[in-house]
Amino acid sequence: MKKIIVVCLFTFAGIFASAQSDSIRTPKNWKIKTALSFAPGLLTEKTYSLQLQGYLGFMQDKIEWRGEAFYFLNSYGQRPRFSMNHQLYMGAFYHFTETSFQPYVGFQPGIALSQSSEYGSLNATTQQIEYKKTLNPVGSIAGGFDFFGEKLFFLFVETRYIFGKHKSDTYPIYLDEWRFSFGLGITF
Amino acid sequence: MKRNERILIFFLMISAFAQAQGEKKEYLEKGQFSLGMRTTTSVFGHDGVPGLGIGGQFRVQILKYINTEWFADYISMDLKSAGTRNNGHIGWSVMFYPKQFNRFVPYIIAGHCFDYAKVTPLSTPYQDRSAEVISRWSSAVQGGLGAHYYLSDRFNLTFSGQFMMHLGNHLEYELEETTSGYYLNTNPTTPAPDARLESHLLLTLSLNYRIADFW
Repeated sequence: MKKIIVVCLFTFAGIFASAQSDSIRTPKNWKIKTALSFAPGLLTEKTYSLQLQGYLGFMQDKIEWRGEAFYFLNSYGQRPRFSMNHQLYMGAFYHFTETSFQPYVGFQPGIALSQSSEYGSLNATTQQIEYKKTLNPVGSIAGGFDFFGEKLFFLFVETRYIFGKHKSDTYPIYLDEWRFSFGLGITF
Repeated sequence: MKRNERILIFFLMISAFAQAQGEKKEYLEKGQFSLGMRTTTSVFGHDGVPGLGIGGQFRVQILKYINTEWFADYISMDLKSAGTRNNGHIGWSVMFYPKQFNRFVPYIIAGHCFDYAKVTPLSTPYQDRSAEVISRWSSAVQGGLGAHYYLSDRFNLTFSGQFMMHLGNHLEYELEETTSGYYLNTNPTTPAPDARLESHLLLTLSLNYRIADFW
């Protein structure tokens, strides 16, 4: 009888532990990430751009949902083709590990508020050349890594390819760009 | 077999069953509510040019084998450097899951949407063609195939291909080939005979996250 009681006790303890591990798993393994950085980008025709990047991410079970904003500062080189190219993204990243060093890849659909500095169109009423600002869908494939400190801070290095086209009432221009960013973020 | 041994085996079986239940993943269940982002490519349309779009959707699963998707898309197309076409879709679809293969879940999808389209011909510093912009509201039906792939119990990647057929008013315009490229004519005298039924294929990649279980 004593044996049976001991076996039953261990069996129920096993079931209870299994149930507990399921129920406490969710609240323990999510985190919020946020970061601000400068992001230089490479365009064709020896041209590069500079953006201010900010993001807010929610991470759970190796999946990170991230909303991201790029504020266009300026572009330089042989053909700086935009006077405005702000971008907003929302998408997901897959983290390959759950250690302090976490490489990741992701995809983010987004939208660009862009304005050409090259091609304008005539406004017949005012007889002025106008450079229209338009909203254009873009997409971004990104990869990089996070390095988490013991508390609060993390380091990130990231690169992304952006694809899309600026379309307005005049000639279209590719928004394609290879962008890099690195910096320090806060996580909690 | 002794009575004690039988009781021991019985409790071990209960334990094993409980463990198995704990490990089983139910990726799709009725009552689930998820939110997602999507990117859409429109191909094989009237103009023969691909479009790129952005959108979002939420899903409410009403039965174990039937899900519903409510979406909005904004798609834009460069009409061979002669103009721009912008499309907005807002609608819903029903998804049917004939069989679930653990993380991989194929489905059949069909639905309806409202559609807004605007075509803007190219203007230059010497010519203002803003008076030739045309637009219309219509509705459409769409159907096709898709599949979810679950990377975690809450998150899935979804790819679908849907054929969309527009009902109602048709936008009459022609891309005419000239010696200096294409010219977008938004007031053609004779519409092309193959342009009466407007349809295209939508290829959509979406990222979805389950945020609630309603029932």
